[in-house]
Amino acid sequence: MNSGQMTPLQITSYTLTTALGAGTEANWQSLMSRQSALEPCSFDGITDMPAHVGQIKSLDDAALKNQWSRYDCRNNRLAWLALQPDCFIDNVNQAIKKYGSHRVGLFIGTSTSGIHKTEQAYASVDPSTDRLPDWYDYEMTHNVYSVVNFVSRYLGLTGIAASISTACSSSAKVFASAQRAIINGLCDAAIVGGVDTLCATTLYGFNSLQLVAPQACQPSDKNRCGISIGEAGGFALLEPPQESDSPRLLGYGESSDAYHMSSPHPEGRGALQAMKSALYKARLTPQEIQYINLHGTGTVANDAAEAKAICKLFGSTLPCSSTKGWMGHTLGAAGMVEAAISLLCIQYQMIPGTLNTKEIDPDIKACIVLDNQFRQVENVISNSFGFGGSNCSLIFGTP
Amino acid sequence: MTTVYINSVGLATSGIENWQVGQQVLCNVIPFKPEPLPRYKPPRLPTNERRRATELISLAFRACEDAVHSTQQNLNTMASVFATSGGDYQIFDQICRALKNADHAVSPTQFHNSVHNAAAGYWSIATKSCAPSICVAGYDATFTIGLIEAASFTVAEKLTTLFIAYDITPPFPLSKKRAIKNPFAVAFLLTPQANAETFAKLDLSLVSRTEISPSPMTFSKEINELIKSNPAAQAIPLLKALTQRSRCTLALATNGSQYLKVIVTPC
Repeated sequence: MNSGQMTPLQITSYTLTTALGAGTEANWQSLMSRQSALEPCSFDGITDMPAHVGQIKSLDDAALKNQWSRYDCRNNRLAWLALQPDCFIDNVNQAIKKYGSHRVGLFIGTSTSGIHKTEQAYASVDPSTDRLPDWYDYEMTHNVYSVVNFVSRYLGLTGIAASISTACSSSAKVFASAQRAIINGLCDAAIVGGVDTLCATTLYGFNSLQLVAPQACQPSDKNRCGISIGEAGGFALLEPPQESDSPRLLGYGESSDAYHMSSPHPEGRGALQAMKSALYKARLTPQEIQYINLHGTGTVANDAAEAKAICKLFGSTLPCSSTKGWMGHTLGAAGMVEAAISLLCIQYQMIPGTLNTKEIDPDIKACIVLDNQFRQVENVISNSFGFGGSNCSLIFGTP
Repeated sequence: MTTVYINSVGLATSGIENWQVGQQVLCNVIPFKPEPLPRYKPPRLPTNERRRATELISLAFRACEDAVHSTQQNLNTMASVFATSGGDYQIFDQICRALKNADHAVSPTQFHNSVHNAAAGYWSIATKSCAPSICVAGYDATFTIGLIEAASFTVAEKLTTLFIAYDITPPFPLSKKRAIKNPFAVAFLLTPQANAETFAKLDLSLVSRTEISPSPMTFSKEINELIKSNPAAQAIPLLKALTQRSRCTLALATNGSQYLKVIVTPC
């Protein structure tokens, strides 16, 4: 039962692929060397908007072939790519052997799934009939379940499988759903993940809301003016604790802002509730957290509201940073990407300082770290907040 | 096994405006006439949000409002699980058409309404509930996946939870690629413990199909067509079981090798 405190889960294996590269090693090296992957937008010929993006260029030519060709779309290409590093598939195979393919759950977060395929199909509509082209397969590409369908078949999983789609908190919330499924005996272990890819809908959509920065995003900067959109995929294998040295999911907290569809509550009400709830479930006090990986999108409203919530709960001395300056805001994949980064911070005992940020907004009173710092990191909070006021905070730590 | 209690039901589909009518149709008291639903403006939504609410959000609200209209449970602490297989097809159609224009001008309102959790966001605003809200999808098994998620959530968090499954019909040309013939929305108010409002208990487990002996259940040709017309309409066997007032076993398909065994016990 989780209504009070939570049974921790072991993170047996995890991996991430972003514009920085494929796998934990490539991403960590870029975090260490403070190399951003954000570049002026040229995705799919989109050059009419001043924006930087975190694009994974190899996806353009990485078509899924043979039996997987029906699933071919940018999002499933990235799912495939992101499964390959860090021996993740080997570890999944061991879990399948141990528990049975029907007892390993699968929960993947995505916001737009393969909508880019629908954009392409609409661009190819036959003007005489207004019909979509024959090559377009809605179910296997655009539909929000498509990535779960693809990954479950690719990995040979036959257990409970769900797509979680709550905008930019999607792949943080998969950890909560997986934990509950294991506790309730719906599965014995679970694979969680997040996969989201660039598409015209999000680029022009965020642009229409005037939330896209022309330069690379500058989270918490006094001149910050919006997000840089990125694409990423990542996965983690969760099991009941067995090995003493594997990192743990210690807590999660979910909440709703109940305020506005696309603006956070100005005082960070929902963010505060999510972090409080995560601490309670993890049986931790605010003093036992050493680092917060911020949602830190770089919009004026998000960074201000998140900092207010943090100051209320933790004061203004707890080190916080946003890592979105490296690979951009990867939307439905951000929860998983930042979970992986949080786990790397614990592994290497380092906090990556916010990239691209020059002068911290004087109204942001939280302790925003700008330079990489080697220091003791046992327990980390990772924040993810999304449209519709959907908030999720995760706590990772050592056993 | 996961056990949850049903306090109330909400329903909206062509020809069935609410659960009260739905019960009469499922019990053959009145005939099923699938006529378009009359226009609906979600009464609980603030004016600004009501103006921006799409057909999908209105459909979801119909079933939600129907399920909670007479409950004594506190709406502003209620959690929710929203399950829709496809989200807002009309918005996807409109955005993809707009992207073909030279200016690529996407409507900001349409963009924020395009997220899969749009209805959940509006519902939290309407009920002023800061409790967690989860949005799931499982293509044609979306109802079953949503029910599993909602039960798992309700039991683990010990929270009263509104579970809703809903899908609208896609516009042409998407309709040629995703056949959903009728709008359908169904909502269940779930609690982790029985209370004065409880009228049925659900015992849920994931097992192989051979381990389930489903109770016999027959439907008219029209209702069978309705079941096939929308992923959310996979709820109809459960709705029928709830009208029977006797213990009943259902086998609901997931996308995996297992089925969801549901034992419905009237309370």
